[in-house]
Amino acid sequence: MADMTPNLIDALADQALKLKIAVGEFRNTFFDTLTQAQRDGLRTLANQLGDEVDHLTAVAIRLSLDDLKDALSHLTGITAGVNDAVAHLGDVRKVLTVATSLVGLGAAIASKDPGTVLAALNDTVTAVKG
Amino acid sequence: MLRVRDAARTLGAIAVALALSLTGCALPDAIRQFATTARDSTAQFAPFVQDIADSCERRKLAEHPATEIAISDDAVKAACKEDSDLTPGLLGAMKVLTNYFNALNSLASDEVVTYDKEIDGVASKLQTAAKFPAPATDAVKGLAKFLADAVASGYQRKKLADAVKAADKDVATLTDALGRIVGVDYVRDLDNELDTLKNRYIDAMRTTKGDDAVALLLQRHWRSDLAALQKRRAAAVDFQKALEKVRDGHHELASRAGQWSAEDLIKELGSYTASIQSLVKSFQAAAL
Repeated sequence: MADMTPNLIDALADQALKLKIAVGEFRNTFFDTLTQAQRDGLRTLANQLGDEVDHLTAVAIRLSLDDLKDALSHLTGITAGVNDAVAHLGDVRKVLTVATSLVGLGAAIASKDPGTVLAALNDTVTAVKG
Repeated sequence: MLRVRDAARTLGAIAVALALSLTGCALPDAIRQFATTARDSTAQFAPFVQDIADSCERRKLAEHPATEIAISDDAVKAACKEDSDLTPGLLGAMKVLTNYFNALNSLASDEVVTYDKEIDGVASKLQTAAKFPAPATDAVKGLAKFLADAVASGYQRKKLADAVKAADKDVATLTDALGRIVGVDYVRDLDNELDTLKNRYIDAMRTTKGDDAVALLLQRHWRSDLAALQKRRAAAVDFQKALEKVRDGHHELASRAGQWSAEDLIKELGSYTASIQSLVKSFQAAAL
């Protein structure tokens, strides 16, 4: 027996829908020649086929969802990693503050002005302590 | 003073040179826009999912002869329970995809790599507290901004590249399956509903027995019901197409993760984004 795949169930649902439509068309075409019992019977049959289409469609969707489990779990892990990276950019921000103050310190040293160097040094210490 | 001016000149020259090379570091807008659009389109899934059960309920109501005014809501809901039971699983699956694009969007955002204010703060301190001259302060600022952008943008690009490459297969699997559920399965439910509704109108029309006024009213209602279902159907097909564009655009990003500034990629990604936006507008207009 073939495996129950969403595609297979979809194909069955399509066939059931075609059958339902055909039953309705038959009832409409021969309506005047049918007895009331036959008309009711055909309507009931069409309704039952409609329920079957709905059921098979729901089964196909459920099977599709089952097939997605691994992908969903994997993608959830990747998303957590991306969110960590966004949070980590906050840490990068701290590194950048230190880098900025180091650039300032370098410039201050180049100026050879003791006051400027001292102030830049203080900034660097503050940035490193964060 | 001369030394300070020399230092300022040197730093200024470095800052200008570095600023010129900075344009290559920034993440192209096309990538940010694609991530935003993909996130927004996947977030439109809920009305389709809700309408799977609603379509079943409308069909069950239409199965009854026109002369029957109402049947119990509970009976209809019970008949369609299998459909409504699918809702949490479907919404949960799409939520995973939406969350992924949301995270991608956050990481691709300009905000996470913009440190201008902090750098301006440090530079202004340098100017006021240490009496550093303005040209030198500007040079320090320029250099620091370059460093900030280079480090953050490099990190941002690497993490984005890693994520899109790792997620590409999952994004394809999810967009294909969820797109099919809306574009094929939900559409079949609508066709099923349409057939039942049409037969109900045909039966009702037979009972008018030459009463043109009633026939006219029935025609009008039928047209309106038909148009509503056709709108839903078209929206579902467009939603599936939008997910296909999301899949293909993501694949472009993943397969060319090292060349995100390439002009042709930006152009191509822009066309995916535009297509998705136009499809989203089309199914939003259907207002399920």
